[in-house]
Amino acid sequence: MIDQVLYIDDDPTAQLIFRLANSKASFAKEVRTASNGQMALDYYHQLAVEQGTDVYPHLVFLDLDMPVMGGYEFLDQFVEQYYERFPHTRVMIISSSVNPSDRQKARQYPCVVDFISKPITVEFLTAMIPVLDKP
Amino acid sequence: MNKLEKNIDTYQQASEGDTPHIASSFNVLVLDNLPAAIGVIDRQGNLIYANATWERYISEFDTTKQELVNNVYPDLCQIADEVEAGRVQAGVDEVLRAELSEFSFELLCPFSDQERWFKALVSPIVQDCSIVAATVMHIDITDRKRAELQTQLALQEKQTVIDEKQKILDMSLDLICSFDEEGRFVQVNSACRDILGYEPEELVGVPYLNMVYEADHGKMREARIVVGEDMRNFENRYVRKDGTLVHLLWTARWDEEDRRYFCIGRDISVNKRAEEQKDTYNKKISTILNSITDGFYTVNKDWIVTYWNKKAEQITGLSRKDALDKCIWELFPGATQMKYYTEYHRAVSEQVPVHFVERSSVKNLWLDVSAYPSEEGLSVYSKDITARKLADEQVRIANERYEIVTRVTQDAIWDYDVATNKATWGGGFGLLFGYDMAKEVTNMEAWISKIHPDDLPWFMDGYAQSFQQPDVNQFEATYRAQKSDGTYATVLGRGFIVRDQDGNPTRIVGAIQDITRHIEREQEREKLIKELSQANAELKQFTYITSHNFRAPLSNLLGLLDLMKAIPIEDPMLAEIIEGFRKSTTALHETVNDLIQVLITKGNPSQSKEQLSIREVFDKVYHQIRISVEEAGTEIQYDDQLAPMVYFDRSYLESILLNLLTNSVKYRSYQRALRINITTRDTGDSVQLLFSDNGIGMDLDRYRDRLFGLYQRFHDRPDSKGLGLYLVKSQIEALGGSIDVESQVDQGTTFTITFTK
Repeated sequence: MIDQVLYIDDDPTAQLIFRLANSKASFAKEVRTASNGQMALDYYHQLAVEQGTDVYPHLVFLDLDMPVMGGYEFLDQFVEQYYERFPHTRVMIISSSVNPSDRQKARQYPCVVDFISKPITVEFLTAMIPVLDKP
Repeated sequence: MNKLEKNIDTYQQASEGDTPHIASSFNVLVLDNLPAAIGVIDRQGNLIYANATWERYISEFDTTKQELVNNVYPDLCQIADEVEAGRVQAGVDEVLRAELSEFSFELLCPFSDQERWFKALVSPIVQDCSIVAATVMHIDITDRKRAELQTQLALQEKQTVIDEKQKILDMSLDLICSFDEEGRFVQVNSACRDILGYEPEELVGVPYLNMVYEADHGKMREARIVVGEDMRNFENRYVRKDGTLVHLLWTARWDEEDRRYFCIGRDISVNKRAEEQKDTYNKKISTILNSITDGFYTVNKDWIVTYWNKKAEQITGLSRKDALDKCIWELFPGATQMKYYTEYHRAVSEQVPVHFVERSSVKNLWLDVSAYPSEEGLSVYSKDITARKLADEQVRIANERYEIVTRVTQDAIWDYDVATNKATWGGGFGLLFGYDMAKEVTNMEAWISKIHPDDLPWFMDGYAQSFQQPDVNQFEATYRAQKSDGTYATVLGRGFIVRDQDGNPTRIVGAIQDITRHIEREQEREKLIKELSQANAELKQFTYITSHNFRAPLSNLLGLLDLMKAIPIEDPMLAEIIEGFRKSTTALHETVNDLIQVLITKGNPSQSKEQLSIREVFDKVYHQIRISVEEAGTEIQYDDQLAPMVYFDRSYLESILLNLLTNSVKYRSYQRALRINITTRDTGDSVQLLFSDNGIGMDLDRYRDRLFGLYQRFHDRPDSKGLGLYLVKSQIEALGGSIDVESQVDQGTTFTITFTK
């Protein structure tokens, strides 16, 4: 069981579904949510300031299309400011985007591991557990 | 006591001990009476004694013995020549040093006015094996010497005479020589250097026949020289030392007394060469006359043919042999009725060249004739211009056509004369620009004034450039020109520049085409394309956004339904409602996904192709829907031996095989178990996949046209949305392939997919 997951999506229903699926699948001990990229960055800033704690989300689910700050802008800032500090971060893009160029673009970030479609189901999370345990 | 006495005393004292005095006195007496001047010199060369004869001799010149004795010998001889004096001094010294037993020389008396020659003899006086002194003896040899000199002079004189004779011979440019009876050179003058390249010495003793060019040997043997008669103008060739030949013309005589031939040979090579050149020249003239492309012949004042070249033979069909020495008018009687007769007579009587074009009197030819009167008669050049005549005729016809074309064309044809600055217009001009303008625009300035001011600068630049470059003979420009009604027409002007030899333009011919409507249409089309592209891009973007907006809530619905799975529902009605809710949501989700697939396929034609194993892709697809396939009791036969690989996009191939497989399952016959047969084959430039089933089939007569259309459904079966085949076709065609179908109702369907290699 991983310690912390960060779920970034502006859709509150999707956030709710993820929380429910997470608890059903016993996937992560703690789910952090952010409604846009800026809020997620604020969270990382807070983590970075709190010296000593090495508990941080090793897995991030990221929607692309969000108000205030979208997924790509978040990725740019994160890679630049925090990736070095939180090197075990793996990002999965969750998007309803059908634009094929989005997939191409997402692959260019070193921390992005996959591009998946919503909804995130209990089965998906259950299947993820053994994969995540691997280094 | 003077010096001489002292010396004699010394001499006498030295010799007294050995020689009896009487004997000595007797000797002196003898010495004094000898006809030679005798003296004694000591080892240093001092004259210590001179006999009476010497004394007598010098007294003739008022010189005493005292003045003579005690001088150094041979200085006292006063030899004028320095070299001789040196030689004599050395000789005397050698005698005194016992290196020479005797030394003699001749000397000229330095005192006498007349020439007096003496022979001097110096010999040592030896006593006790050593030289104590030497005697010198001067004998008068004047008579002998004089005789000698006379002989020499006589000889010299004779030699001069001989030399002069040889000089005269040598001065001669002709080869002067004599042979003996065997034909060997005895004497040769130096002209042989120039003529034959040999020195005279090299030739003496050589048989002359060796020198004669081999081909002329026979001629030489035949030649006879009659005694007493000169042989003249005999020609033969000699081989020069350098191997070249020289032509010689000989005059020869046998001298019985000396038994010798005396010969004079003249080098006539230059004459020979001139003759040869003349021959060559004549041949050349003949060749030239024969090779000139004009027919050429000459007649004399009586109209008799004197020359007839090859081309004349061709033009007239009459050979030289048949033409020569015949009267021209008898050879061509027909010509007397034509221009030939009158013009030739005019040329002769008026002595002027004549020129005319006339048909041949014997052949179907046109001839261009020039005739020049000469002292002998008339020289005639006639040229076959039949081809040119025909060409002229063709040009005339072409011109007529051109006239007709310019009258009917819609282009404005124009012709501009540079020298006169005058423009002429063809028929199209009035039509294009209005009829008033044709009269108004008659020069370049008038035309330039009609060009739109915005187009004028670059029109002038381009025009000037084409005009000034001598190698440019065409130009083209699109510009606006004002019509007589004041509006502007966009025209395409093309011109051809005619230039003189120096490359200066003399004339420009061209056409102006009104392309206003063409340009307008072009602009409209471009505008339309731009608008369409814009609309298409916007629509695409709109579709992406819309489908995204669809999918987000739809995903949530699926997520929620997924979470509900494990929650037990007791109310049966609620359970049924939720089940209906689930089905609708799933159907909506599938439809949206299909539409998105179509969008992706249509929007991104450039997919990545790779070599794929058809079997591998099919197996993957099969596993995705295995449950429904197996539920239908499907039997699949797969044979890809002939072509296992295909060059295609992986996701498209997956989508195609998935659609075909689900279609087969969906539209299977409920009366029999589903059988699917998949085979591949290689057709050379493509790979074909044949996918057939034994399903319900289709009525292709009714549906063929709509089969691959969007949202076309032909059977009422569950999940039939009318998207699958549309997508398959789109994906295949996006990568340059094609799909074909064969089907019979209730028999089955075969799809043939052709992938390009």
